[in-house]
Amino acid sequence: MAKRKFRLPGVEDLNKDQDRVLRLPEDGQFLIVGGPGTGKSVVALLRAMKFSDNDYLFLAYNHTLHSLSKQLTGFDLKADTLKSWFYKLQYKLTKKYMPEIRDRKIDYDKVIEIFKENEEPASDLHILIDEGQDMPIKFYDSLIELGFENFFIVADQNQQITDENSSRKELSDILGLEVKDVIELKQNYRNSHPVALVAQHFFTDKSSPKPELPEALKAALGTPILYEYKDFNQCIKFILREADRDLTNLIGVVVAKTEILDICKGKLGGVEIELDNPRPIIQSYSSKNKQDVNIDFSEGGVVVLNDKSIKGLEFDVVFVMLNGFEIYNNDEDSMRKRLYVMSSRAIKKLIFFQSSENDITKILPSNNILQRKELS
Amino acid sequence: MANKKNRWFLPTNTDNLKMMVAQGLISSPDGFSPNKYYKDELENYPGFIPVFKNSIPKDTLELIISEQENMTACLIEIDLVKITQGSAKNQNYEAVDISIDSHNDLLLLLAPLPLSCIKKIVFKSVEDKLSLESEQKLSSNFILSDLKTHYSKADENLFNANIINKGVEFFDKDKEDGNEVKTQTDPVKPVPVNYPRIYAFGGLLVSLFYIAKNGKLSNKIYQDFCTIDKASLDSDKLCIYQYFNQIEDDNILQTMYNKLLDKLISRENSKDDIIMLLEGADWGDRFKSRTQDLAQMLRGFEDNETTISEKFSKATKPLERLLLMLFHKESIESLIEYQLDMFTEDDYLLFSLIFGVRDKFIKMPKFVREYQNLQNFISNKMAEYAHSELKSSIKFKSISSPKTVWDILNAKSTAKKAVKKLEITDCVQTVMSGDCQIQGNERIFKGYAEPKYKIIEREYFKIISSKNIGTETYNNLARLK
Repeated sequence: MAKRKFRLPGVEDLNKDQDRVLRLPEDGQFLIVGGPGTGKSVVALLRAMKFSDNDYLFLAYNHTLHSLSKQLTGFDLKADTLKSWFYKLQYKLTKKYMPEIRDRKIDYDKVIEIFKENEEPASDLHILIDEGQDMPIKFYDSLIELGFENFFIVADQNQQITDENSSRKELSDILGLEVKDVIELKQNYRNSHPVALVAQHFFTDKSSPKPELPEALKAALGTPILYEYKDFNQCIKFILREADRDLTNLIGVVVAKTEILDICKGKLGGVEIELDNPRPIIQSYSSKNKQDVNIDFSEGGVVVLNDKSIKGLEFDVVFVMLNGFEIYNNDEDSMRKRLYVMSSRAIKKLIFFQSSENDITKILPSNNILQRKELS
Repeated sequence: MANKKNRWFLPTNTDNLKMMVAQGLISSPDGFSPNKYYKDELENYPGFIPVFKNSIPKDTLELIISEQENMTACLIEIDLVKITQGSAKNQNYEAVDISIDSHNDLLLLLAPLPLSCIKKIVFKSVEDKLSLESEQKLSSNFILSDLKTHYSKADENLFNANIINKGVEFFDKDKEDGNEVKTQTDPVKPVPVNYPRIYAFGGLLVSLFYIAKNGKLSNKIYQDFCTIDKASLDSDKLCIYQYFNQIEDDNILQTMYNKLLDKLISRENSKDDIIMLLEGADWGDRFKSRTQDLAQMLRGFEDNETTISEKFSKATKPLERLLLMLFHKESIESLIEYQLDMFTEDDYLLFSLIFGVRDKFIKMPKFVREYQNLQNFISNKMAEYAHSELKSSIKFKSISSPKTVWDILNAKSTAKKAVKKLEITDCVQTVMSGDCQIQGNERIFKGYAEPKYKIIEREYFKIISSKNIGTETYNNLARLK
């Protein structure tokens, strides 16, 4: 199978805002904000590489992003997931289990109290946090109580997918930053214009401007498509043919539930089809499994994931299986946020599949942004 | 006591330096990628590279790190000996000789200059020097290669100038009531350099250098483009050659290539541009049906109804295959890794030519740019090409091309060792000339018979076209004697 590499950016690939971020001194508190595809994770990883000989730790929100970052940098990145590291840190200090309100829901007020009483000297550790908006502000509060001083946080409040999260203002306040000190990355490098248009349709934050769109192109190539299908096997064949076009491509298939994930994975491995190349590698991960991520991001192929696990990742092509997604309690914005994250993962192509109209259909973009076709 | 030799510096910051190294030329700001130029003296002398003799004015030292916080100053020491012909301008834009011993404090050298003109890069502190060196690991195209970085206690003084504004010496001074008024001889604006075309030419040469491993034909084409000898070029490749040498030819194929190359060189999104070009209205009746068919073929390429090999099999003409490949692969790196049995050496050659043009020198794969002496050689070629386009009298000390893999495999002294290193013995035949007697398993020749090794080209292409020659492998081959 074809190898993929984390491609280091060329000098010309970084804009002046990103250059500015990379020149920031090693010590201090820094907050970098920006929409999807603006290179937040890239600058965080480059910073980790720059200071790799020193005392630093790269923290990502979910297991998949943590796994991807470790695999693609090509060096022994000191990294962990945010919660897992926090649990270990607390246990190491107190030799007691984490105070929780309920299962895996941390009682930060109690943690802050415990950390306040800690008499160990302040740590020199430099903490780099990716997707920093997905942790509550009390998480940061407690770290500061412990004496941590060096923070480099990248965040986007429009990509909050957890109910415990922090806004840009909260983050800059806790780091003691003036508005001018927060570096904003604006240019979307990941998505093509048609893909970014779909993502922008799902943008919910009324208090901040919509992310800048990449330059529009006239030939209208690569407009995202919503396929309505009658036979699910046709979707599977479509995905396999897409993967067969280029073995170095990483294809993301996003599903709503673990049951759908299992069906997709089984069919992708089993359906009969004639291809140019051997069948692509089919990998999957579900956050419900609570296992280590066993996905090899350095290989091309198909990865089936639920939408909670795709945060921070990017794929050459993204297929979204709309069946199974539901709007709960009429909270359309919450669904829009999830679709915003899903759509903005695609670099080259974005395809939606659905068998018939459902709850989600009404919040999808119109025909001129998202073409409708039948899959026969 | 021996006279201390003059030193000549281009003062700048490490951001501009990285960009110049990445793009392969010391250029004016218009040679930088969009929005990547940071303020320094280059913008004050459009079209020229200003070099200061022995010391740098204070305001220049301030200027070069003024645009953003935490910038780092550096001085690019220019080796004027590497410019073997031509003249410069002085502060008054008068023609002067290019000489280390020039009595002028500032020389304006016509841009661009090749990287080989860099004697060393001087830093204010050892930390600055180390920091820049370590930035190579964060970038795909900032490759210092054999460029020298330098720090010394003595050179720290270069960064501590107390000359308040040496710049005033560069202008004719009119003093009125104690106020200095700068006046200046009207600079003759140099002809603008078509940087995208220059960088495309550099990309083409790097790409051809890599693909020259594929066989005799590929190697010959590389040499042809390097030495301006078009003897063995066929129609499609000849069109590309003629485009870069601005040879006029109004046949249909040449016209189509000229328009295609213009688009590929000038814009970022080649797919969209190609479609718009082919569907455009300005083709006239002579071309229209052909271009419409091509556009339709390319639009259809995106669908998933047939496999890629089926799509390529339907494309019978080189230009059609080339356009499909431009749609299929988005970088030279992915082209290098791509294999489809139906492609011939000729196909890969044409793909490589056009991908080199599209991606330009800056996007050439790191592992190829790191081949011993290649970066310097190509930089020289780009600078030579730029100055020939400008019809300038500037000439640079020539650098010979690094040996291609094919050259190494075919040189008597290195062939056998190279075949072994590349593990391609299956592609080689040993030929012994002369009458021989057969005794059992032995063939006995009279006198001293010399074996000759011959590459079996068909077998060789099959194996070598799918073999990536990494930096270490190439550099080991290049060192063979």
